[in-house]
Order: sequence, then C-alpha cells, then structure tokens
Amino acid sequence: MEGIELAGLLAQIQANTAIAVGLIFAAAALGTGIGFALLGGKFLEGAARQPELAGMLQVRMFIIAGLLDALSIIGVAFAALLLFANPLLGAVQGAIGG
Amino acid sequence: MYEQEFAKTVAWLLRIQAILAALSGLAFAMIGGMAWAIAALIGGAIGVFLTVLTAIRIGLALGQDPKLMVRSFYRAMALKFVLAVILFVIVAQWFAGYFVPVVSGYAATAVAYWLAMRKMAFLPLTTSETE
Repeated sequence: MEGIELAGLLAQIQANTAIAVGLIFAAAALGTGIGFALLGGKFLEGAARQPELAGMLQVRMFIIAGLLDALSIIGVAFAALLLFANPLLGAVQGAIGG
Repeated sequence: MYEQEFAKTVAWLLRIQAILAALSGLAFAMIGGMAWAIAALIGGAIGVFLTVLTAIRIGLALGQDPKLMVRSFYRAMALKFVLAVILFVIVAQWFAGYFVPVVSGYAATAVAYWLAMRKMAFLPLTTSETE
C-alpha cells in the first residue's frame, strides 16, 4: 500500500513537472516569437525609410536580440534540468531511500 | 562604415562578457570551491561562444540588402538557440550537480547585453535627428 502511495506521489510530481516544462516552453516560444517578429518588422520598416541606416540598425538589433534570447535560453535551460535531472524528485527519492 | 562599428561593439561586448564570466567564476570559487568556479566559467564560455557565433553570422551579412540581413539574422538566432539548448541539455543530463553555477555563469554574460544597451543610449542619434 505504501509503495502505491509513493508511486502516486512520484507520478504527481512528474505530471506537474511536465506541465511546468510545457508552460516554460510555451512562454519562451511566445515571448521570443513576438519579440523577434517586432524586431525584424521594425528593422525592415526603418531600413525602408532610411536605407543608409540599415547597418546601424542591424548593430542595435543584434544587442536587443541578445537580451531577448538570453532570458528564454535560461528558461529552456531550467526546463531541461526539470526534464533530465528533476531536483523535485530528489526529496521523495531520498525519503524512500532510492 | 557600420562594419567597423559592429566589430567595435562586438569586441566590447565580448570583453565585458569575459570579465563578467570571470567575476562569476570568482564568486562561485568562494561559495563552492574550484569545481563550482570551473562550472561557472564553462557557463560563461557558453555565453561568449554563442555571442561570437551569432556575431560572425550577422556580421557577414552587414551591408547587404535588408531582406538578406534579416534572413541571416533570424538564421543566426535560430542557430544560437538550438546550440544553447543542446549545450544546456548536455549540462542537465550529465552535470546536473553543477547546473546552478553553469546557468549563473551564462546569465552573467547576458548582463553584458544590458550594459551594451546602456552604452547604446549614449551613442549619436540617427542622421535625420542630427541634421
């Protein structure tokens, strides 16, 4: 009986982790998708208006894109941790001795 | 002309990223010892490597047609994202015990972009505004 309860607990943690990972991926994809779409659109708009500034805009776009990417990469990195070495399972596994 | 500005900006960015990675390595050396310091430095190295790769790919498209510039920009960013995911999956899979210093080292290099943005705010305005 105790084994079934523990298995249920582990399953519950894994299920919630899967939901959390899905939310992280969705938020990262949505955020970067909207951000990059705005960035690319505004760049093309600016380049069409003043073509001589396209180079300068590209330099600035590179820096802003670095920021935009960094946060989603950190989110995805934590999602990878939850998927491959879930630290939340450690407490339960430690309690049952395995 | 903008190639030079781009090269200067990237060189500055890489310098700051290296300094921040070294600082995070130092901080983790004091917190958790040598292994954590190396892990933080590896995280910083991931950040620097991804910046170099993206900068090279974007820099090669500078001065071309804006459509091509945007295309190469998106390709560079996609490559950066995929490589970052692969590298962090490797860290999570085989070096999970060192995950926090690695991610912290990477996050430290991301701070350089904030500083670059701050620096950008003091650069000269566009030609239409200065005329």
